[in-house]
Amino acid sequence: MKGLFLFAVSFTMLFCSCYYDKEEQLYPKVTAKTCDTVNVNFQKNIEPVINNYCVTCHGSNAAGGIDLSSYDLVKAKADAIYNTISHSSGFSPMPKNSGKLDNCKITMFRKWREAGMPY
Amino acid sequence: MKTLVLLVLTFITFSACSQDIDSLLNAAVSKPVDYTTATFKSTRILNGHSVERMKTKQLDVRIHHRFGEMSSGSYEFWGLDQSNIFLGLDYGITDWLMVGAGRSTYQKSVNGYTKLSLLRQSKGEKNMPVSFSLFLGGDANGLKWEYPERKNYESSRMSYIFQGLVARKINERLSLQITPTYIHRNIVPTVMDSNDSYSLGFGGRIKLSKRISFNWEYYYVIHPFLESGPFNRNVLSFGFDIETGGHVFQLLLTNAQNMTERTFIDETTGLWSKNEVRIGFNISRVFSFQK
Repeated sequence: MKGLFLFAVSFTMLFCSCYYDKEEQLYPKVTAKTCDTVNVNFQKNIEPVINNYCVTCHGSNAAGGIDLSSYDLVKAKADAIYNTISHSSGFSPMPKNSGKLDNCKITMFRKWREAGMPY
Repeated sequence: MKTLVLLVLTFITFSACSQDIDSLLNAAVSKPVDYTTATFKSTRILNGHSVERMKTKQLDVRIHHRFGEMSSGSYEFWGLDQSNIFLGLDYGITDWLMVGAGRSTYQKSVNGYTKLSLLRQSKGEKNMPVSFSLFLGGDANGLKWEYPERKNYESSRMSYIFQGLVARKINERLSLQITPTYIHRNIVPTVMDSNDSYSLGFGGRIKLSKRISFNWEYYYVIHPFLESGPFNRNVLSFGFDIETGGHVFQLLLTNAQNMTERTFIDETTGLWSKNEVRIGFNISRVFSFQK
């Protein structure tokens, strides 16, 4: 009985931490602060995107022979990555079975390549 | 939704009081109650939870794998060259209260949950046609922030899962379960998307021998969280349970890439019709700390 009561109280508290946030309302506009395509580096900008959208398949498991689990491996495949995420003709669109990345991420990746792919 | 959850939890608390009184009366009358056991061999049907739970002071160590799509062909060894992994622990605090935690490679997510058995199928002095358990869980996305420059909130990582597990052991061979599911995400991409999603799971098993059963499971997404997009594929899975002493091996085929409730019910992109099916397995080993 006590255990059940404690359980009910603890999960009531858990559910009180629910939020109903919408990302486009919480962050209304993609501004220079949130979509930095000027000062782009791998650690701060590219790695989070790769981890979010790519490494599930292209981690150490290397789907299709493509391993993106480190900075050097991403650098080596930078051209192919850009062509696939921008859905260029002749390239398999990525992320697979998912929507195209937003323009900010694609621009960010292009700027990173043009800047010499800094770490 | 918060109000509904509070009402349900209040109902549970008062039900516990009445069950204590029922137990005293039963003891006084001393008539036997035949409780149904082993509705399923494991605490999972395949991807999702079954109505079963661990007994007091039993620890279940779980390792789950889901491989790549079999359509990837021989070069990828039909998907076996890729894998997602889930490591988890389930522990029985009492015979009716189980807690668990785990970590998945997908989104580096960490999850924790409680499974509470409220009703047990029985006959005799107490006739109860079904077993009923509640599953309550939380799931946190562990990836680095996509946009570290903006103000990110830790609450944005969290999702919550609420399931009712209703099962009936039809006979020694056949068991069935339905699993109404509610998933809440603290943040979704656009105003057209929903923080709340609703699904209904169906599952069952046919016992083929003392040690082997054939299981199936289907989750139908009634109200998805994304207004559009490639998610929201209904999940269909088939597999076998193989019990060997303290281990249960579950071998399965599924279109679900991931293994936690939030990710396999609501975020599956594969289709059986396009052969986007994966081999997977669950291994479970039970340790008892009961003296």
